[in-house]
Amino acid sequence: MGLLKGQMSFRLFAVEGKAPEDTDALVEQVSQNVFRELMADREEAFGWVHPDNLLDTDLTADKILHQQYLILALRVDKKSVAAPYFKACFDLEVERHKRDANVEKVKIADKKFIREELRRRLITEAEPTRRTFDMCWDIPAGRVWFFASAEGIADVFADHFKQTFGRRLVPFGLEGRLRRALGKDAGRALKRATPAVIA
Amino acid sequence: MSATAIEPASSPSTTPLDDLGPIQDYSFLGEEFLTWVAFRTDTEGSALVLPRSGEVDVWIDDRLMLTERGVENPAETSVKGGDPARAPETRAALVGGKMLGQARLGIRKMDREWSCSIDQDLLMRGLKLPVLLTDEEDEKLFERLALLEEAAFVLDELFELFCIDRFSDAWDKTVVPAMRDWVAREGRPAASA
Repeated sequence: MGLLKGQMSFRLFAVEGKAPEDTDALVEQVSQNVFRELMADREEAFGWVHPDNLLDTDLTADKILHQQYLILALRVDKKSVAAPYFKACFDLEVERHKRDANVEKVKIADKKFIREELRRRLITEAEPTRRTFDMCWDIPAGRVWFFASAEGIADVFADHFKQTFGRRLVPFGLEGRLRRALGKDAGRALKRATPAVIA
Repeated sequence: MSATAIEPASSPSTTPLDDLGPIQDYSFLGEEFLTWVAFRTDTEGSALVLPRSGEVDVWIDDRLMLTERGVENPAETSVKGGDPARAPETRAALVGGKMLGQARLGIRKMDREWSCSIDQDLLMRGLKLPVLLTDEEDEKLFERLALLEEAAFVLDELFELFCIDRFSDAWDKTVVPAMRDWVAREGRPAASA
């Protein structure tokens, strides 16, 4: 469901500020924010990769700049432990603690310690899910297409874009289109608008 | 490599709206837009002449969803297959006060055809592009981008056309009454022969 193949689902953003002219600087900014592998006990990592290959983080200008477009993919790796599995392991750990400490009940503080240690161990062992989401920045037009529709991942993307390029992305949905269609009268016109009843 | 650049209806602006308030207050306008598309294409046909895109056809494709308005957990009616804009379930939902909250739209411009789902926030999902002309891998990217922009451009223009209707005096005087007639006429059970 991305830029390069298949059906497209996307969100459109406007890039704040003037279009950058120094494309070398853009490439350098990308290279400083490429994907880096998850640390063992971390749950999530994200960064830029090549849209054709999620292992390719050597993002040179010829790979990512195509005419007026900067094209990248945001790779998001996430580790998680299924709740029922976690609970089963936790119950086992609690029973083991009771036997080892020769107690009938486990203190709240000890349970908390067991839970945290278990989470750390299981997260370290877990295999991450690896997903990529294409993005295309039409640099002179100041528009960015991000090829995912879920709000959560779009927020991650907007934050990483800001961190990489120092520019805020403004979602261009209903609000943006109303603003464009109504021009300077938008605020006044919308204040007066009330839902139409057609039934 | 050549790209067929499609200019946007105009560049997206990042200037904040004065005193606009939270935009979710205005999502009813997205529902009215989709309902207006269904009304207009049903009563006037799918052919439209847009200021910059020229002659296009727009129609409600094979699915839509109607949403109850003004409540926290709105009831929804989903209609799939056939001609959902004319389905009795759709008419009943409109008569009951629901509006379109999501629809799959078809767009045809010359010999190219797109389809995509649009929701009341004007988010496009599952955009299906026309068949690509090029076989060259390098050029596919640009062709896909050009086709994406072309579809988005048509929808932008369609929304602008809606806004002209919606924010003119004609909205209350003629458009809304015509939509009421449309709903009432189509929602009425067929007379027995």
